[in-house]
Amino acid sequence: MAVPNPAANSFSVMMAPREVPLSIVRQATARSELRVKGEVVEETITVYRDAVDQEDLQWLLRNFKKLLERYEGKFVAICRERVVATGDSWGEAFERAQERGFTGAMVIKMTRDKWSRWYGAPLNSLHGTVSV
Amino acid sequence: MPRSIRFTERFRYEIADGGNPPPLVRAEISTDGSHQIAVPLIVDSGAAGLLLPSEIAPYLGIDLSAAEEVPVGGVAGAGTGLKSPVQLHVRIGRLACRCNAVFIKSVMLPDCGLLGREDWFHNFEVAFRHKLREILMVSAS
Repeated sequence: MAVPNPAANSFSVMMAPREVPLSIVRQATARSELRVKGEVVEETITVYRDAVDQEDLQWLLRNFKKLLERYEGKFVAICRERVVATGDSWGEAFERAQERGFTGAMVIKMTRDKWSRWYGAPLNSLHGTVSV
Repeated sequence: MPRSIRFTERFRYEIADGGNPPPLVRAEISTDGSHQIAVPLIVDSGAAGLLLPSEIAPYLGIDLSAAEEVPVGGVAGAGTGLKSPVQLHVRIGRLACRCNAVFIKSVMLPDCGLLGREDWFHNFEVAFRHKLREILMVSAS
């Protein structure tokens, strides 16, 4: 039988990672399941936050079909959710982005052969199998 | 005693139009702090370690001319990689650690680097929720 645990909130706050808003911790605590078996309290709390600095990657994924049609075969440098430079090699795209002041640009090659696998069956993909 | 793992970082890799992308993250890689580049990495528990395209080595200030050769293999074929003579500082979101790396020709890579087990998986718990297109991570205790 579930019983309230007066220490649950303070325990959760103590365990919370830094930078997690208290409101999220409280919400997670409210959702957590609290079970009491004898004197052992089992509590499962999952608190997570979206990682930082992933905006350019997510923008790439959201727009990749359009980008593929426009830049197929090119290396593109993406920074602040837009294409800031292109080139025929990784270095060319990277250097052009640097020259324009986009030091955090992420460069990737837009290749239909490889990217199109992302729309195919996972078992046909080469991803996740290369090892040293 | 039940163990619960609290993941602190969530990385989303949902693609438009219901595609099936590999689990991708954006990583910032540097050597001494003065050379820093952003690269997309596939989080790959099947890879032994961090694999990067050799084109980026000069931009990290790494000279591979005397680097140790190591065999590299997978379903993409077999070849030779060059072991980085220095450890790289890898930061993904709020998480970071030093990693050994092998540089290989990009023809063997799916246009991205691979983030394999050595170093990163020793330092961080990693969970895949592919149905939700999410990767969860937290520092390993």
